[in-house]
Amino acid sequence: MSVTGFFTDSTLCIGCKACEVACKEWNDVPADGFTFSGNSYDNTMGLGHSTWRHVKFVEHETTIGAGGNAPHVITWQFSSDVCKHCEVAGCLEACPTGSIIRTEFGGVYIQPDICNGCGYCVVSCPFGVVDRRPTDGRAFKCTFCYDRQKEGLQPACATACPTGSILFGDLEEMQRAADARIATLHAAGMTDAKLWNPVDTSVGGTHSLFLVRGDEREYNLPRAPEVPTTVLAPAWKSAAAAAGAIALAALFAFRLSR
Amino acid sequence: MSYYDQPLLKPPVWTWEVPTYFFVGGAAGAAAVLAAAAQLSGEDEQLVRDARWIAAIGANLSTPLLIADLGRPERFLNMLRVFNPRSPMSVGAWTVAVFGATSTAAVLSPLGKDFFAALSAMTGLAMSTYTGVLLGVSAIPVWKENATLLPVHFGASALGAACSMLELRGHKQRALNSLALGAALFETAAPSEKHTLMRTAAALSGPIPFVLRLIGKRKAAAAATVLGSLLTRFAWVEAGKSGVRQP
Repeated sequence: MSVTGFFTDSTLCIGCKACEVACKEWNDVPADGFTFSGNSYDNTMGLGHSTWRHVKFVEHETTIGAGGNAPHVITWQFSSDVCKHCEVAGCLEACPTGSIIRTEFGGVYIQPDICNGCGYCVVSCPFGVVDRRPTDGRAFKCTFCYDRQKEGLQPACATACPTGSILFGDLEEMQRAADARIATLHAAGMTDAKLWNPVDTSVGGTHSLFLVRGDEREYNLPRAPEVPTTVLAPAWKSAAAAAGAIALAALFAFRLSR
Repeated sequence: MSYYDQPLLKPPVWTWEVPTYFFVGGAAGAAAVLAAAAQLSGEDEQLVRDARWIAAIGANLSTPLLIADLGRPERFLNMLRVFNPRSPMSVGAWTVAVFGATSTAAVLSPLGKDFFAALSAMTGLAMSTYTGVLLGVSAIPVWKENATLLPVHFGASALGAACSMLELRGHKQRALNSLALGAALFETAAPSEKHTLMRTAAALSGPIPFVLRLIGKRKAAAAATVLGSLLTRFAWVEAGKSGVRQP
């Protein structure tokens, strides 16, 4: 059983949203309303309790090597977003019920029969992925198609992707595929292509690698994400100091006023 | 820079039950500490008994508030399915469980009241401070940036509220006034976010009761402190909701 990962390549994505549909169909994810956003061809706008794959439409002026050949035509960069399946996962660390676990494939999975909807994972995810579904009460996010992986299948999104933009496989192989792809793109003059994987932060790297062009923040991929537990020790020390001060103050106040 | 100005982070899903619990549980925890300190110093028995009752009533209000906020309230016992020291929510759930049992036993148990009261005071110290850790250890920038302030801030607020509740019950010990004065002084100095509700909460917790105490208006000061303590928790939860900005 190998540790698996996604490699999502925005330079191959055509914005068809087949991944979104396949995910919804396979995982029986309910509709989450229809709101006209006015932002490109994206009315979904982000991952949520009922959107586990989300295709972003980033619009740009035409630049050489990217998109159409008429200057008045804008270009699109599409990128299919998904749970990052962090090495150090904020949601997993925060979960008080043990509902959130790391699977044998290295993914982060919310066991729906255990989650009691406390909502702490929602504020503990540095990527705003996990959310509580109001009509259900539990927290939901990408399962990494744990059920399919157990049967030796690829996740539904990767299976449905018609262009090879979403690759799935052994994590190290995905890393090699990403490195090779970036070398190819750089050789073709697309020197702004880069791989997003926050290995040098407290997140410690992810199982979802993203190849994007330009500024990753345009895709809501933060440059320096941090897990909440970076402040765990200082916060508890502060609480211990406060508790000690309260106890001593109470004892002294009553003793001295005798 | 972000994707069509969409916030990266999800706002907290917590509703009014959570900040109300922060207030009730914090004050109850500090009341248990006051009960123990008063008893060790040979204080008036009525004060000790009232403080223990505030702890017990607060503890027994805390659990329903916390259960009501769950998405699946019927699964509340899953909180005690594991102990996860990396999660302040898990540490808190166990603290509430032990505090609830011991503070209730400290007023109702036919024997061993003092033993249970001692345990209740010890967990009470955690009750009055851990909620600051709970907020601080999160991805929400305004909470995380204040991760070391919040436990002390909430602790001072809880201590002030517990003293004030006893004063409103008619207790006049000088120690209660001194402790509440100290808490109000700390709250005056504590930094605050640019947030109307938080400014109001800070005024009611700090300078207003401080001045009222100096001029001898203890009951008015106590009422302001209790209200300020409640609003402080609402203000911080609201700040987390409105302040979801890019990290």
